Amino acid sequence: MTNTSEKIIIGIGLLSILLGLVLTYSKRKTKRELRKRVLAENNPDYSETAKNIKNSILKSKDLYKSLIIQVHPDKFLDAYKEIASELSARITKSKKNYDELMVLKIEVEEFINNIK
Amino acid sequence: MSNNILSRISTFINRVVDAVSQGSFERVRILREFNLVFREAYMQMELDRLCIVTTSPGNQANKHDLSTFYLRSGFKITIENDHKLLENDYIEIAKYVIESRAFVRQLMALGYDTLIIKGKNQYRGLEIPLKTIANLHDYMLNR
Repeated sequence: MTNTSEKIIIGIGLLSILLGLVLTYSKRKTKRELRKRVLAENNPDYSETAKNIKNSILKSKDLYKSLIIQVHPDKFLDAYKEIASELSARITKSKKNYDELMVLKIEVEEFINNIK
Repeated sequence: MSNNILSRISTFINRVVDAVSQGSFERVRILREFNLVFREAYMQMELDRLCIVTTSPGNQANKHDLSTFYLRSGFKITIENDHKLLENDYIEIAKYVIESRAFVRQLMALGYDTLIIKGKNQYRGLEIPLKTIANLHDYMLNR
């Protein structure tokens, strides 16, 4: 009798351990997949990111000032004013991101050339 | 000299722990690339302060779904020459780092949950919970 109950207790113990292992494994697997997906969808070139941060510290302030002055909405009329407002908002949002400001610089140049 | 050797040994141990705990060299790579770019910028006198990036203990209160063990969950930027560095300067540096949400998400995916910015010789510093900057909810919903 004692022998049987001991076996049952050991069985339950082993089952619990097995269940714990399965749950831990599935949790880790989910985490690993999530991690993979996040890393795959974002730029894996850390050197580029580091360079962007460095360039942002060094150059974004001046670039921001020059762009925001060029597209000040008060300088434009009607439809152009709207585009200028939208560009200003995007420039302000990317104030401290050099790479994004460089992309916006091209847009600003195109916008100004279109008016001329 | 002995400091240099100790620092090399601790860097090596940190790298091994990062590689083993994450099952990949991504953490090692991110720290190496950042340190390389910052050191180069300092040597070429582009930046007037030298920033060193390391893994450090984070804060358990900032834990998120992909956080690693809290002793390894801090992404720490130490400013080596921190003379006359004010609290505002820490905030300013932090703004440049957290500007890119994509990058913050990458840090979170690598197990970091706290961004720490600190001067080497100063007690004060700045601690930012990464989960307040970006979140992983979209990725979790699109499983």
